[in-house]
Amino acid sequence: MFVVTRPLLTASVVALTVAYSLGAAATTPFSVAADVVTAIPIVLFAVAAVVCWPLHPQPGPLPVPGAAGTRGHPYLPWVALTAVVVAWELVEYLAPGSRGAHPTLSSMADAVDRIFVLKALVFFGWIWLCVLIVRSGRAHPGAVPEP
Amino acid sequence: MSALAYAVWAVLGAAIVVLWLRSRAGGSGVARPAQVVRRLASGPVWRVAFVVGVMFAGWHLFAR
Repeated sequence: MFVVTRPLLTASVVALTVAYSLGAAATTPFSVAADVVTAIPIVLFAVAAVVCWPLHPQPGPLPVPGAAGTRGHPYLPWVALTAVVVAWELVEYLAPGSRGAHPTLSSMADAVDRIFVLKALVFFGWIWLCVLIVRSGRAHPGAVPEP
Repeated sequence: MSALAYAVWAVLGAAIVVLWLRSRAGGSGVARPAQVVRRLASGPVWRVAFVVGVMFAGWHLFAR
């Protein structure tokens, strides 16, 4: 009898995702094929989030800050850096002139997407980010119940 | 002008790498990226914005 082990299942899912990413990388933006191959993971992502996530989420405990050199909130550096990235993206987006002179994240991503292998890698990373998000949003033992 | 723009993007990219490395160092007090994702995915309002943002990013990158 053939038994599906967890490593085999993981390898199969990874192989399937790689194959799907290669197929998606072969599509051309603004085509029906690109719309369909992108829409399928988006729909699955939304359905997985609705099915897997608790209705009333309990935020997990704060990461334990180190004793030395700890100042402020553990998420603050990420929030600040994200704010700077968003601000610079807006500056570049709104600046008069060509996109070549004022590159945005989108225009740089377009340049990456012109290379088949890189586009497949980015697509693969995007799908696994979706998987990570769904897994992260599930109820976990360290959740702090609301009073 | 584009050289300056690309330089700023490079600095921001380097800052992300530095912050990521710092988060892995013990006692830095900076949350790891996985912890940031977990926090966003478990916030009642943030998780919706987060999911929509990631969905939009995929659509914008690969479809339109």
